Amino acid sequence: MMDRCRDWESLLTAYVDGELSAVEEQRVRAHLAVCPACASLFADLLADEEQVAAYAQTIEPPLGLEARVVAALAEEHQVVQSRRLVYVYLCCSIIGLCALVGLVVSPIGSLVTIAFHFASAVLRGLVSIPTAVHQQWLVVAAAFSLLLLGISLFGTARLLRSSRRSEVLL
Amino acid sequence: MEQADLDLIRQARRGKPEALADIVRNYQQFVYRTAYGVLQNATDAEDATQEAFIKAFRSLKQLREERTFPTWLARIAVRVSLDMLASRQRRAQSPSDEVSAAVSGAEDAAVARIDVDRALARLNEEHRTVIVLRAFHGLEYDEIAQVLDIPVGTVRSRLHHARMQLRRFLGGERGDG
Ligand SMILES: [Zn+2]
Repeated sequence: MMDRCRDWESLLTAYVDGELSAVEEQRVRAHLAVCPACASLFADLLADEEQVAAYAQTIEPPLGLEARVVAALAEEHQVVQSRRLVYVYLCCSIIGLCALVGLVVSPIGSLVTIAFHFASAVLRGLVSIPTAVHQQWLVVAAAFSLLLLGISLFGTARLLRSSRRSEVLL
Repeated sequence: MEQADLDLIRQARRGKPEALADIVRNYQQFVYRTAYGVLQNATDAEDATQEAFIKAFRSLKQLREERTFPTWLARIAVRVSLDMLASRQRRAQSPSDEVSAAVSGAEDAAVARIDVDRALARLNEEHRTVIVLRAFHGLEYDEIAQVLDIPVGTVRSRLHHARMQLRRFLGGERGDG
Protein backbone atom coordinates (compact mmCIF):
# COMPACT_ATOMS: atom_id res chain seq x y z
CA MET A 1 0.00 0.00 0.00
CA MET A 2 2.81 2.41 0.97
CA ASP A 3 4.63 1.87 -2.33
CA ARG A 4 1.48 2.60 -4.23
CA CYS A 5 0.95 5.86 -2.30
CA ARG A 6 4.50 6.91 -3.26
CA ASP A 7 3.42 6.60 -6.87
CA TRP A 8 0.37 8.75 -6.23
CA GLU A 9 2.51 11.38 -4.53
CA SER A 10 4.29 12.28 -7.73
CA LEU A 11 0.92 12.93 -9.36
CA LEU A 12 -0.37 15.08 -6.50
CA THR A 13 1.91 18.06 -7.27
CA ALA A 14 0.76 18.18 -10.87
CA TYR A 15 -2.80 17.80 -9.60
CA VAL A 16 -2.34 20.86 -7.35
CA ASP A 17 -1.15 22.76 -10.42
CA GLY A 18 -3.95 21.52 -12.66
CA GLU A 19 -1.38 20.08 -15.06
CA LEU A 20 -2.75 16.52 -15.29
CA SER A 21 -4.64 15.06 -18.21
CA ALA A 22 -8.37 14.57 -17.71
CA VAL A 23 -7.91 10.81 -17.29
CA GLU A 24 -5.09 11.19 -14.73
CA GLU A 25 -7.11 13.77 -12.84
CA GLN A 26 -10.05 11.41 -12.59
CA ARG A 27 -7.83 8.64 -11.22
CA VAL A 28 -6.21 10.93 -8.63
CA ARG A 29 -9.60 12.17 -7.48
CA ALA A 30 -10.78 8.58 -7.09
CA HIS A 31 -7.69 7.68 -5.02
CA LEU A 32 -8.02 10.77 -2.79
CA ALA A 33 -11.57 9.72 -1.99
CA VAL A 34 -10.39 6.41 -0.54
CA CYS A 35 -6.90 7.22 0.87
CA PRO A 36 -6.80 9.52 3.92
CA ALA A 37 -2.95 9.73 3.83
CA CYS A 38 -2.87 11.07 0.28
CA ALA A 39 -5.88 13.32 0.95
CA SER A 40 -4.09 14.87 3.91
CA LEU A 41 -0.88 15.34 1.89
CA PHE A 42 -2.92 16.99 -0.85
CA ALA A 43 -4.46 19.40 1.65
CA ASP A 44 -1.01 20.24 3.03
CA LEU A 45 0.39 20.86 -0.45
CA LEU A 46 -2.50 23.20 -1.21
CA ALA A 47 -1.93 25.05 2.07
CA ASP A 48 1.81 25.38 1.29
CA GLU A 49 1.02 26.75 -2.13
CA GLU A 50 -1.30 29.36 -0.63
CA GLN A 51 1.23 30.28 2.03
CA VAL A 52 4.03 30.77 -0.51
CA ALA A 53 1.74 32.76 -2.84
CA ALA A 54 0.71 35.01 0.09
CA TYR A 55 4.38 35.40 0.99
CA ALA A 56 5.18 36.47 -2.60
CA GLN A 57 2.53 39.21 -2.33
CA THR A 58 4.41 40.74 0.62
CA ILE A 59 7.64 41.18 -1.38
CA GLU A 60 7.60 44.78 -2.55
CA PRO A 61 10.41 46.52 -4.41
CA PRO A 62 11.84 49.47 -2.44
CA LEU A 63 10.51 52.93 -3.43
CA GLY A 64 13.66 54.22 -5.12
CA LEU A 65 14.23 51.15 -7.27
CA GLU A 66 12.23 52.29 -10.30
CA ALA A 67 14.12 55.62 -10.51
CA ARG A 68 17.43 53.84 -10.02
CA VAL A 69 16.76 51.40 -12.86
CA VAL A 70 15.54 54.16 -15.20
CA ALA A 71 18.67 56.20 -14.45
CA ALA A 72 20.90 53.19 -15.09
CA LEU A 73 19.11 52.60 -18.40
CA ALA A 74 19.62 56.24 -19.44
CA GLU A 75 23.31 55.98 -18.64
CA GLU A 76 23.60 52.74 -20.60
CA HIS A 77 21.79 54.42 -23.51
CA GLN A 78 24.32 57.28 -23.51
CA VAL A 79 27.27 54.91 -23.52
CA VAL A 80 25.75 53.06 -26.47
CA GLN A 81 25.06 56.34 -28.32
CA SER A 82 28.62 57.63 -27.88
CA ARG A 83 30.01 54.28 -29.02
CA ARG A 84 27.77 54.51 -32.09
CA LEU A 85 29.11 58.02 -32.77
CA VAL A 86 32.67 56.72 -32.75
CA TYR A 87 31.67 54.03 -35.25
CA VAL A 88 30.00 56.62 -37.50
CA TYR A 89 33.13 58.79 -37.35
CA LEU A 90 35.38 55.84 -38.23
CA CYS A 91 33.13 54.78 -41.10
CA CYS A 92 33.05 58.33 -42.48
CA SER A 93 36.83 58.67 -42.42
CA ILE A 94 37.26 55.29 -44.12
CA ILE A 95 34.72 56.23 -46.80
CA GLY A 96 36.44 59.61 -47.25
CA LEU A 97 39.82 57.95 -47.65
CA CYS A 98 38.46 55.46 -50.18
CA ALA A 99 36.81 58.30 -52.14
CA LEU A 100 40.12 60.16 -52.23
CA VAL A 101 41.99 57.10 -53.49
CA GLY A 102 39.22 56.45 -56.05
CA LEU A 103 39.39 60.05 -57.24
CA VAL A 104 43.13 59.88 -57.79
CA VAL A 105 42.86 56.54 -59.62
CA SER A 106 39.85 57.54 -61.81
CA PRO A 107 39.99 59.74 -65.01
CA ILE A 108 38.84 62.74 -62.93
CA GLY A 109 41.88 61.98 -60.81
CA SER A 110 44.24 62.71 -63.72
CA LEU A 111 42.58 66.13 -64.15
CA VAL A 112 43.05 66.74 -60.42
CA THR A 113 46.72 65.71 -60.72
CA ILE A 114 47.20 68.12 -63.63
CA ALA A 115 45.62 70.95 -61.62
CA PHE A 116 47.80 70.04 -58.66
CA HIS A 117 50.94 70.05 -60.84
CA PHE A 118 49.93 73.42 -62.24
CA ALA A 119 49.38 74.93 -58.78
CA SER A 120 52.66 73.56 -57.46
CA ALA A 121 54.50 74.90 -60.52
CA VAL A 122 53.03 78.38 -59.92
CA LEU A 123 53.99 78.23 -56.24
CA ARG A 124 57.53 77.05 -57.09
CA GLY A 125 57.85 79.88 -59.61
CA LEU A 126 56.78 82.46 -57.02
CA VAL A 127 59.28 81.09 -54.51
CA SER A 128 62.13 81.09 -57.07
CA ILE A 129 61.56 84.78 -58.08
CA PRO A 130 63.81 86.31 -55.39
CA THR A 131 66.72 83.94 -56.09
CA ALA A 132 66.25 84.54 -59.80
CA VAL A 133 66.54 88.33 -59.48
CA HIS A 134 69.33 87.97 -56.89
CA GLN A 135 67.83 90.74 -54.85
CA GLN A 136 66.66 89.56 -51.45
CA TRP A 137 65.81 93.08 -50.29
CA LEU A 138 63.04 93.28 -52.92
CA VAL A 139 61.25 90.37 -51.28
CA VAL A 140 61.63 91.93 -47.83
CA ALA A 141 60.22 95.21 -49.12
CA ALA A 142 57.25 93.45 -50.76
CA ALA A 143 56.46 91.52 -47.58
CA PHE A 144 56.73 94.75 -45.52
CA SER A 145 54.38 96.64 -47.82
CA LEU A 146 51.88 93.77 -47.71
CA LEU A 147 51.99 93.91 -43.89
CA LEU A 148 51.43 97.71 -43.95
CA LEU A 149 48.49 97.27 -46.31
CA GLY A 150 46.97 94.67 -43.97
CA ILE A 151 47.31 96.89 -40.91
CA SER A 152 45.82 99.92 -42.63
CA LEU A 153 42.87 97.89 -43.96
CA PHE A 154 42.23 96.50 -40.48
CA GLY A 155 42.43 100.01 -38.98
CA THR A 156 39.98 101.44 -41.50
CA ALA A 157 37.56 98.62 -40.88
CA ARG A 158 37.62 99.22 -37.13
CA LEU A 159 37.19 102.96 -37.56
CA LEU A 160 34.18 102.43 -39.82
CA ARG A 161 32.62 100.01 -37.39
CA SER A 162 33.11 102.28 -34.35
CA SER A 163 31.70 105.29 -36.20
CA ARG A 164 28.63 103.26 -37.15
CA ARG A 165 28.18 102.21 -33.52
CA SER A 166 28.40 105.84 -32.32
CA GLU A 167 25.74 106.78 -34.87
CA VAL A 168 23.48 104.20 -33.35
CA LEU A 169 24.18 105.60 -29.90
CA LEU A 170 23.32 109.13 -31.02
CA MET B 1 -0.70 40.21 -21.02
CA GLU B 2 -2.53 43.48 -21.59
CA GLN B 3 -2.77 45.30 -24.92
CA ALA B 4 -1.23 48.42 -23.35
CA ASP B 5 1.87 46.44 -22.39
CA LEU B 6 2.13 44.99 -25.89
CA ASP B 7 2.05 48.52 -27.31
CA LEU B 8 4.73 49.62 -24.86
CA ILE B 9 7.03 46.79 -25.89
CA ARG B 10 6.49 47.62 -29.56
CA GLN B 11 7.37 51.26 -28.87
CA ALA B 12 10.44 50.26 -26.86
CA ARG B 13 11.64 48.10 -29.76
CA ARG B 14 11.32 51.12 -32.02
CA GLY B 15 13.66 52.91 -29.60
CA LYS B 16 11.21 55.16 -27.76
CA PRO B 17 12.88 55.92 -24.41
CA GLU B 18 9.68 56.82 -22.51
CA ALA B 19 8.36 53.33 -23.24
CA LEU B 20 11.31 51.82 -21.36
CA ALA B 21 10.46 53.80 -18.22
CA ASP B 22 6.84 52.64 -18.41
CA ILE B 23 7.89 49.01 -18.82
CA VAL B 24 10.15 49.34 -15.78
CA ARG B 25 7.23 50.75 -13.80
CA ASN B 26 4.90 47.92 -14.84
CA TYR B 27 7.35 45.04 -14.44
CA GLN B 28 9.71 46.06 -11.64
CA GLN B 29 7.62 44.19 -9.07
CA PHE B 30 7.60 41.04 -11.21
CA VAL B 31 11.37 41.14 -11.70
CA TYR B 32 12.13 42.11 -8.11
CA ARG B 33 9.98 39.30 -6.69
CA THR B 34 11.67 36.77 -8.95
CA ALA B 35 15.12 38.00 -7.95
CA TYR B 36 14.22 38.15 -4.28
CA GLY B 37 12.74 34.66 -4.37
CA VAL B 38 15.89 33.19 -5.86
CA LEU B 39 18.41 35.29 -3.94
CA GLN B 40 16.59 35.67 -0.60
CA ASN B 41 18.31 39.00 -0.02
CA ALA B 42 16.92 42.51 -0.60
CA THR B 43 20.15 44.28 -1.62
CA ASP B 44 21.13 41.59 -4.10
CA ALA B 45 17.58 41.50 -5.45
CA GLU B 46 17.76 45.26 -6.20
CA ASP B 47 21.06 44.85 -8.05
CA ALA B 48 19.71 41.85 -9.95
CA THR B 49 16.56 43.79 -10.94
CA GLN B 50 18.63 46.62 -12.40
CA GLU B 51 20.93 44.24 -14.25
CA ALA B 52 18.01 42.21 -15.60
CA PHE B 53 16.32 45.29 -17.08
CA ILE B 54 19.56 46.49 -18.67
CA LYS B 55 20.17 43.07 -20.20
CA ALA B 56 16.56 42.80 -21.36
CA PHE B 57 16.51 46.14 -23.15
CA ARG B 58 19.94 45.55 -24.64
CA SER B 59 18.67 42.37 -26.30
CA LEU B 60 15.08 43.47 -26.90
CA LYS B 61 15.55 42.98 -30.65
CA GLN B 62 16.06 39.24 -30.04
CA LEU B 63 12.56 38.90 -28.57
CA ARG B 64 10.65 37.07 -31.30
CA GLU B 65 7.10 37.61 -30.10
CA GLU B 66 6.00 40.53 -27.94
CA ARG B 67 3.41 38.26 -26.36
CA THR B 68 6.15 36.18 -24.69
CA PHE B 69 7.76 39.21 -23.04
CA PRO B 70 6.94 38.21 -19.41
CA THR B 71 8.42 34.70 -19.76
CA TRP B 72 11.40 36.15 -21.61
CA LEU B 73 11.93 38.74 -18.87
CA ALA B 74 11.56 36.07 -16.17
CA ARG B 75 14.21 34.01 -17.95
CA ILE B 76 16.65 36.93 -17.86
CA ALA B 77 15.83 37.72 -14.22
CA VAL B 78 16.34 34.09 -13.19
CA ARG B 79 19.67 33.85 -15.02
CA VAL B 80 20.98 37.10 -13.57
CA SER B 81 19.89 36.00 -10.08
CA LEU B 82 21.44 32.53 -10.37
CA ASP B 83 24.71 34.05 -11.64
CA MET B 84 24.68 36.44 -8.71
CA LEU B 85 23.96 33.58 -6.32
CA ALA B 86 26.91 31.64 -7.72
CA SER B 87 29.28 34.58 -7.28
CA ARG B 88 27.94 35.20 -3.78
CA GLN B 89 28.52 31.56 -2.83
CA ARG B 90 32.06 31.96 -4.07
CA ARG B 91 32.36 34.84 -1.60
CA ALA B 92 30.86 32.41 0.96
CA GLN B 93 28.10 34.43 2.56
CA SER B 94 25.09 32.83 4.14
CA PRO B 95 21.73 33.91 2.74
CA SER B 96 18.76 35.27 4.67
CA ASP B 97 20.62 36.29 7.83
CA GLU B 98 19.09 39.70 7.45
CA VAL B 99 15.64 38.17 7.08
CA SER B 100 15.59 36.22 10.32
CA ALA B 101 17.07 39.19 12.17
CA ALA B 102 14.79 41.79 10.58
CA VAL B 103 11.33 40.63 11.70
CA SER B 104 10.86 39.44 15.24
CA GLY B 105 7.25 40.57 15.79
CA ALA B 106 4.76 37.99 16.96
CA GLU B 107 2.10 38.73 14.33
CA ASP B 108 0.82 35.64 12.53
CA ALA B 109 1.45 37.05 9.06
CA ALA B 110 5.00 38.01 9.98
CA VAL B 111 5.64 34.56 11.46
CA ALA B 112 4.23 32.86 8.37
CA ARG B 113 6.49 35.05 6.26
CA ILE B 114 9.59 34.13 8.23
CA ASP B 115 8.61 30.45 7.96
CA VAL B 116 8.48 30.66 4.18
CA ASP B 117 11.68 32.71 4.11
CA ARG B 118 13.53 30.06 6.10
CA ALA B 119 12.03 27.18 4.16
CA LEU B 120 12.88 28.72 0.79
CA ALA B 121 16.40 29.52 1.94
CA ARG B 122 16.89 25.86 2.85
CA LEU B 123 15.88 24.64 -0.61
CA ASN B 124 18.61 24.28 -3.19
CA GLU B 125 18.56 26.93 -5.92
CA GLU B 126 17.03 24.63 -8.56
CA HIS B 127 14.09 23.80 -6.33
CA ARG B 128 13.75 27.38 -5.12
CA THR B 129 13.66 28.68 -8.69
CA VAL B 130 10.81 26.40 -9.81
CA ILE B 131 8.84 27.30 -6.69
CA VAL B 132 9.34 31.01 -7.45
CA LEU B 133 8.17 30.61 -11.04
CA ARG B 134 5.16 28.48 -10.14
CA ALA B 135 3.96 29.76 -6.75
CA PHE B 136 5.02 33.40 -7.08
CA HIS B 137 4.00 33.98 -10.67
CA GLY B 138 1.72 31.04 -11.49
CA LEU B 139 3.58 30.16 -14.70
CA GLU B 140 2.39 27.06 -16.57
CA TYR B 141 4.71 24.06 -16.82
CA ASP B 142 5.57 24.75 -20.47
CA GLU B 143 6.37 28.36 -19.61
CA ILE B 144 8.66 27.25 -16.79
CA ALA B 145 10.28 24.85 -19.26
CA GLN B 146 10.99 27.79 -21.58
CA VAL B 147 12.33 29.97 -18.79
CA LEU B 148 14.71 27.30 -17.52
CA ASP B 149 15.47 25.66 -20.86
CA ILE B 150 14.50 22.19 -19.62
CA PRO B 151 11.89 19.63 -20.79
CA VAL B 152 8.36 19.82 -19.36
CA GLY B 153 8.87 16.39 -17.78
CA THR B 154 11.82 17.74 -15.84
CA VAL B 155 9.74 20.71 -14.68
CA ARG B 156 7.13 18.28 -13.39
CA SER B 157 9.55 16.11 -11.44
CA ARG B 158 11.62 19.05 -10.19
CA LEU B 159 8.51 20.80 -8.91
CA HIS B 160 7.41 17.60 -7.21
CA HIS B 161 10.71 17.22 -5.36
CA ALA B 162 10.78 20.93 -4.52
CA ARG B 163 7.26 20.74 -3.09
CA MET B 164 8.04 17.65 -1.02
CA GLN B 165 11.15 19.37 0.39
CA LEU B 166 9.19 22.52 1.12
CA ARG B 167 6.51 20.39 2.76
CA ARG B 168 9.13 18.95 5.11
CA PHE B 169 10.50 22.40 6.02
CA LEU B 170 7.13 24.17 6.28
CA GLY B 171 5.42 21.19 7.92
CA GLY B 172 7.99 21.29 10.70
CA GLU B 173 7.40 25.02 11.22
CA ARG B 174 3.64 24.82 10.96
CA GLY B 175 3.52 21.68 13.06
CA ASP B 176 1.26 19.71 10.72
CA GLY B 177 3.89 17.50 9.08
ZN1 LIG C 1 -2.58 7.19 -1.11
